[in-house]
Amino acid sequence: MQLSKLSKLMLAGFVVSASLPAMTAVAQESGDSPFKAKEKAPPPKPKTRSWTTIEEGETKFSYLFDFEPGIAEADTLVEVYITINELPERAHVKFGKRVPQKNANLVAELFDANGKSVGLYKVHGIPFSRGKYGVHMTPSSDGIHTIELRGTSEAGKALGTKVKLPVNVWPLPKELEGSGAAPASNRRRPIKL
Amino acid sequence: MKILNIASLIAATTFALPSLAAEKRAWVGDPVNGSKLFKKQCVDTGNVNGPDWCELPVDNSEHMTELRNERLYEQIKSRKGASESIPKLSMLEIWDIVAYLNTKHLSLHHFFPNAGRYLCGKYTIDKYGLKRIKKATGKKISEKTAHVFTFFDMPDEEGNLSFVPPEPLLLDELKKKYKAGYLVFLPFTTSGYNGQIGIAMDASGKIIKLSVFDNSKATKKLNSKLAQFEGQGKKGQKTQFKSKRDKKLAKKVFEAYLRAMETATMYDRDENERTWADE
Repeated sequence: MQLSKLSKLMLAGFVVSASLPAMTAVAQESGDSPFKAKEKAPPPKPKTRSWTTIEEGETKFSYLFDFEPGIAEADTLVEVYITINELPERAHVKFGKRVPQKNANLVAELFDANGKSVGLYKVHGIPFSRGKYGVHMTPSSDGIHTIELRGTSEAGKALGTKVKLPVNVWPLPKELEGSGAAPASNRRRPIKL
Repeated sequence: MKILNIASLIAATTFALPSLAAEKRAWVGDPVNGSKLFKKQCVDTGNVNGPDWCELPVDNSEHMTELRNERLYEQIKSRKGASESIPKLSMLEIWDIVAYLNTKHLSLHHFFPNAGRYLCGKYTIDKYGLKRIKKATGKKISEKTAHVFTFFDMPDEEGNLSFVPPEPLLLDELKKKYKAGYLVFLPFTTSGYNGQIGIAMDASGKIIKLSVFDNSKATKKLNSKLAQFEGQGKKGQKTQFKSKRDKKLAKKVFEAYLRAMETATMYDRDENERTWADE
């Protein structure tokens, strides 16, 4: 017997309404509404990641860390580049508000997720760069590690900061999202009389 | 293909990161990555030549400490003897290899962790020293030459060990009152061990530390046995070392100590010539 179009529609509506309580019950059991939008899968891990810290003591310094890969893996090399600038109160004649710190004497200590020191590395100045340094390290366990950078500038001023290094932690917790502190802009502005 | 020395092959295949807690001194690079790079550059090269530095005797503490990190870096950077197909290394990768090679032998700061500066020179025991050794041990030694590392505790430079080149103005700063002691690496053979021993003495010739490179249970055991001789010895020592537990070992250590002490005396002779006008 051929059903008319109206009959077909009525039958479909009856089927849906009959199954709605069951769908809702299942959804309620799992805690999700069937009408809630599906959560997006986390984005792919970044190839590089940057993080800036600013330390204020007698002198203000900014430390820009560039990590490759962006999210480290255990037993895999992490390449860390650090750019150190002094942030003077009065703009420097040549460098403005960010004075690169060349020829600093630095070490980087790596602490695992439990706070245990697992490596102490000499940080090397990158030739022909302004205030840029590099270090390699290979974390051996997962979790949020800490890198403690310390040393002295060429002028003898104390340098030091800490930065988190997530190892096989993705997506990042909220406090590690973004790129850290934002140092003052070094953009030249018109002179105001 | 160049034949690598057995030590290099063993170095590439067995690697365990040294404990950081034992000596808190910064690695010049990442030794874990250095181990992988060493394998790529020196071991897994197929039929092509690896660079010349792959043939360095990495387990020879005397050779490697005399070479120093900076010269080793330059040697690796030069790629001398390497085929074009061997990948080039970045600055940080070369330092990783240097750090890895440093884990394969005894280091200077293991013996003098607080020293600020050091000298290194090759000295040959003179006929008087050879006579004294023969009289004390009853044996004539064949190998009379060794490197002597002399350490100085400079004020405000504690632990920041740096090499002093043989330049008169720099040597003039190394006063006798700052001298911490001497270190000599010598061949050493005893039951179950055939390698090198590091003999560290203070300025009076008293043994501060005796050590072989600790890379197995056997060497750990030997190092604990060698510790009993620390505190013994002085310049001009004639009597044998005493050991209740191991007389054979005491004899071997005494012979090595005499050779180290007489070689250090040759440095003293040079130093006296240099500094006679200071006092």
